[in-house]
Amino acid sequence: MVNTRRPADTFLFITILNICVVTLRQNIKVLLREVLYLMQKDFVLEWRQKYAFNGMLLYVGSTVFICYLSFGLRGGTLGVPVWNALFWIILLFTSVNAIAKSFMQENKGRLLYLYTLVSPQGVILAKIAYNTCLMLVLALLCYLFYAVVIGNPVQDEGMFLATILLGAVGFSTSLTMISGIAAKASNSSTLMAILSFPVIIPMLLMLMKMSKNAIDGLERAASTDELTTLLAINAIVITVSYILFPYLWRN
Amino acid sequence: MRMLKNWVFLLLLTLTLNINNAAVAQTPAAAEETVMIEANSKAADIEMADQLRRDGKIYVVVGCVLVVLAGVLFYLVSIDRKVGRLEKEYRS
Amino acid sequence: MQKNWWKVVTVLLLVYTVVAGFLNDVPRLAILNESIRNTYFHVPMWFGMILLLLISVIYAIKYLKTPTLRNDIISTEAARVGLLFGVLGIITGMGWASVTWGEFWSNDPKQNASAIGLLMYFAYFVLRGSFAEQQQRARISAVYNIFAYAALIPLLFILPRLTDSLHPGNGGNPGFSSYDMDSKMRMVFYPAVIAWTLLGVWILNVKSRFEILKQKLYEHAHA
Repeated sequence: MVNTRRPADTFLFITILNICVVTLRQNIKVLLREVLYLMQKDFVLEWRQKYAFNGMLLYVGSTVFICYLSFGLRGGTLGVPVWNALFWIILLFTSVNAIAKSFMQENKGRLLYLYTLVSPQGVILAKIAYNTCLMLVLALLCYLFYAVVIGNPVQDEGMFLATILLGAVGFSTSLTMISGIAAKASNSSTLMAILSFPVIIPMLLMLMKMSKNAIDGLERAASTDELTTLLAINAIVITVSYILFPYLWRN
Repeated sequence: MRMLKNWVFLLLLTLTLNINNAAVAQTPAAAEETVMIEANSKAADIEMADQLRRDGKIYVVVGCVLVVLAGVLFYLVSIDRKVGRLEKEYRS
Repeated sequence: MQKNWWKVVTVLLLVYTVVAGFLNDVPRLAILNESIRNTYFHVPMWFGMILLLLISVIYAIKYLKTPTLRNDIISTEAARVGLLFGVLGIITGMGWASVTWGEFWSNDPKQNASAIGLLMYFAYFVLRGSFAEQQQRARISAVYNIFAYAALIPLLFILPRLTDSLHPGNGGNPGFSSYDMDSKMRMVFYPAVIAWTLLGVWILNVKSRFEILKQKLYEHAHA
């Protein structure tokens, strides 16, 4: 696998270049201001409706506790693969639940108001950025709680945290777009799960492999392939969302 | 126009993906080939359906599959022509 | 009749595929034995699927640029026929796998990837089903179609190469050079791929013409 690193790097470079160009052709200053404004709006809303965030926290907590109870019944400790898989499954379901509401909770009037004010690109980028922040907080808290309750076999903490960071970004990018799609349909909560899982699975596989490496404390170079692939998938998903969201938004 | 540019970028994105993979894959493929050639040279005693061929019964199988294929294709052609006729009727 | 020459080519190539596929010589390989001939019937299914899904995405993009009924119908039908090819591919693959690898499902990355890909397009049809209004349905499912295809590409091209696969060219390139094919096999394999793919395009052609006609008749009846 040594010979794969150089092409992967060039690929990453080209991808980032592409994204820069796509973004730069928009009026970057206006876009940035919009994104910041929209993110601020989302944070204020979240702060006012603290129960939603608390609900998410409780969801994470209960899931971890249920896992602890159901696996800890025999008093044995979890094996590393099970620990790893369980962690990512909890995180996956948490993120699906947390991000599903990002477009559904918006009422019609507010959407119409936003429609007159800002560009759709601003909306999707702001949502992605906001969801990433949300997911980061949730994922870190989840890791903390999980490690305290079930135990922490991780040997390379830095790498594991980096994996969580990548996971949060990846989940939020792909799920934000999906939730935008699902929110347009009638039975949106089922649809959210159906539409998102196939898209998320490749990402999840990469993440699991990376975090497995981190738990086992392998040298960091061993995860380079997964890292670049993940970054590339993220780049593609963000670009596609950026291009496609205007069509979704226009109604 | 801007949208078109966007699509072109996306295309480039996916193309780079493939090109990179092609570059990645060169060496293992070559290695594979040599292994295969070696395997071929000493594989004369591997069991194949030689008896079936010698009996000529393989022609029965081929004939059977051909009949099935002909049936399916005939059906497809007839649907095709029906739709064609309907199209003509609709236009007039 | 003049513009239907490619349908004649399809029939001829299919007949050639079946006859030559059963009768010509193949390399004698352990484990595979005669089942190596499956290359002419199983592998082209995937080529057909990829091409049809590509057509589907192209027409989805076309729909977003110029929203006409025709673009939407072709995009949907291409996805449907592509899905059919995918299901056939996975069934034939499972049959072949059970004989040569010992199990119907052996956790091979390519098997998994194709199963996920199929899931994605099943989800596409569920999404389509959940809209009542035609234009909204067409637009939003076109968006998902493109999104899913963009997410499918890394799945099909990257994942199998990063992990070991039981498929030929394991852990490396799933491309032709690594198939255990000699030049005689290629003489059948390439026509087989073209034949099955053309058959898919033909079915797509008939189905989309039929659907377009149906929609036109409905409009006529309502007007």
